Amino acid sequence: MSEAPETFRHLYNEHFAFVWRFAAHRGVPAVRLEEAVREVFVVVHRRLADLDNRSALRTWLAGLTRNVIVNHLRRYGDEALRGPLDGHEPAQVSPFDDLGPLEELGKMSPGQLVDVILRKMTGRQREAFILTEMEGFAAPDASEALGVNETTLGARLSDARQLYNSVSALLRAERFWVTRDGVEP
Amino acid sequence: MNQLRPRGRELLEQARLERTPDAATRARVFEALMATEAVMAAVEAAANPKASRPLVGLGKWLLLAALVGVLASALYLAGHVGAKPEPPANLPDRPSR
Repeated sequence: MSEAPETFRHLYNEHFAFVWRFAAHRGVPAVRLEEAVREVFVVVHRRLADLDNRSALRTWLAGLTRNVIVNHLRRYGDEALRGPLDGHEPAQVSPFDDLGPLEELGKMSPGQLVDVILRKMTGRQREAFILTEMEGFAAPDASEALGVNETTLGARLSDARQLYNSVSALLRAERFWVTRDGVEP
Repeated sequence: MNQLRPRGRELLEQARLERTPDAATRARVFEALMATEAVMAAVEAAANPKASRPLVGLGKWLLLAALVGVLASALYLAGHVGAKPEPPANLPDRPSR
């Protein structure tokens, strides 16, 4: 087998973790995470020659990853994992519904708790939230990656933050009571 | 614009760390990636650029000449198809009976 071009290998090593986290937080189930990430990098490999502005690499990669993941989720019909009312804004569901049994909340890791909250967001809110709040993208870069203007991004982000604050506070309270009542060992 | 609360941000950072894959996962996925057909084909094409090189030099000019020829033929045909041939100038009159 031939060696992969050095630029690709470097890009892979630098950005693998980001692509993996983006896919995981966007709703790709753990069992298909590797497959989805491979799909992203196959497309990256194919299109790398088209990329002329290296400074915008992370933004370019974020946009590409987002598109591949959305197609992946659509292909496998992961409606529930993409968030409620995906593609419709604003979400009309209550953030406090269906948090799951209290006993479960007490046993959840931080990653699982955040997943519970992210599932309350629409797919678009979720993408805006992941890129800016979890991956540290500046607003102009995130809006370019997601193909929206900054006003739209700001609106999605505002809704997502509000939802995150509400649900995370509720989860903390629930966990406190669960622990206090001795449900959690 | 509203901001995240400190406790919420802390939870987010813990989740981010939890979801960050380790080096072994990175290496394993890379091996699998290099074994996929699409990437292998692209790697081989990059290693052997002659096979997939775009038209250059003579090839480009020959293609251009062929296109010009096709265009000229099309224009010629468009101008002549459907035109009636002119009758000969001096036909003898048919003798009347």
